Amino acid sequence: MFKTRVISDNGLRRWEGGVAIDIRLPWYRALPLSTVEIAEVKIDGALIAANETRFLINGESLALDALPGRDKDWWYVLDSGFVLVPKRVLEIGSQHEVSVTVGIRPPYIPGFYRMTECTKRLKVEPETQGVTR
Amino acid sequence: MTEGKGLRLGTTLFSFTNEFHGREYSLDELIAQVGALGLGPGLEIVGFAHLRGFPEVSDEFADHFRNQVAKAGLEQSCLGINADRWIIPDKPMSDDDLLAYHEAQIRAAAKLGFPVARYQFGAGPELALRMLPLAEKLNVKLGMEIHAPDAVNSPVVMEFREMYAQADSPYLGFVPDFGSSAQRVSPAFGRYFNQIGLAPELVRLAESMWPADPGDPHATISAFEQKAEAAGYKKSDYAELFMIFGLFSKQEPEAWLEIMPQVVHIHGKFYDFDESGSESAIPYEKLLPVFVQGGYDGFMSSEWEGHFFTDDGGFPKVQAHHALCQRILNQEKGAHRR
Repeated sequence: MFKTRVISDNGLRRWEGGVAIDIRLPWYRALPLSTVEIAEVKIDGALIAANETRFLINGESLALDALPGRDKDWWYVLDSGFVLVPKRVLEIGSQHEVSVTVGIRPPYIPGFYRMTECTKRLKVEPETQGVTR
Repeated sequence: MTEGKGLRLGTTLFSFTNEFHGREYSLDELIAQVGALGLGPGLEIVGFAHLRGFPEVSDEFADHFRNQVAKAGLEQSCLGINADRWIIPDKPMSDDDLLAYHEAQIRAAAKLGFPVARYQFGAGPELALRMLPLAEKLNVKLGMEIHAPDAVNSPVVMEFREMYAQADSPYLGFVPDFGSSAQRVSPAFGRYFNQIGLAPELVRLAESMWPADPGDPHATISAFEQKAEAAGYKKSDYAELFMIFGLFSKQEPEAWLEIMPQVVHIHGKFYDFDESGSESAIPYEKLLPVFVQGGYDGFMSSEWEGHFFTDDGGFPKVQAHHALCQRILNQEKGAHRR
């Protein structure tokens, strides 16, 4: 179920001095980015402000408020996106409670908005080259 | 023309959303496994789920796909296409753009060898009529899915029925989804709501307001929302219950007879089984005989939607569903012979 799948297992890693959280689309089919919202990000219970967060998808880093304008770009259902928190320094190997809420508006159901919140306790993994898929 | 084969079973790969989304099975592996477990012969896929870059389909991929399906001993039954009118949620796509959007998907269906494309109410009857020339040219039947909260007589469905009566083409049809013939909300959802810690009184409140009014389902959902809010529940809790109104509606099995000649495919939606192997909320023992006796000739995809409430895999569930449906179809054949 999507509630357990928004944040990937082993999905917290160092990234350019901060951290990246590997997340998945909580829906069964690809959606245009204009219908997706990174609604809330928390680390150890503390809310991370939207302007301190970016979203890396399809190899491109976007401000969260840029998503509504991206009606030609898609989040394919097998791909990870990454919530980037550049200023959050976490020690490799330390454990943290990470919470991400993703909102979607499936474009074939007018007026439907679905939020999926996922919370996991994760260990900080080292930075890898893999933050693209 | 081939002789009618009656109601034939099959599977939609939507049933394996947990496996596919979880990257446990690729598309090719799902197709092979459906064949290996005898869950065909019909194979249905969802364009925007199973094909990256859909509706663009290369010649090379189309060849590969057709080979994979044939190798698994399966037959393309239906391609799920979408009426994505609200890609910009507050600026709906124009009819001209949405027509082009659908035509690209109908071409993909033809290229991949699907005889039926499941489309959605959001297209609207006028646009569906404009899709007809391409559908006829490419020999792809268009089936508008009748899904909860709708039923055969819902206002939105009636608009399509009126247009169909005028157009009178075998390429315009319907795809019944059996979630709209439920007797109750599946108990699997009750267990899920309990598991995620929703208050039992809140769940009871939602279930007491089910089913939604098929004429105005949003009114039912708003009324539930107001009551839940007045009772002090959090939006993140009660919003999870909205889905029972969109997945299940109540309709007598015989109601499908009204549109039977226009049924071009079926979504055999299911969630959960009781101890005797029957679906816990959807009366297959009554539904299948209605379609067999009504002369339905086509596929029914087993469609498990368990990814909403469990991480379990879909294969054992679809096997159980096939066993149930095969048992009912065999009884029906026996009764017919007598």
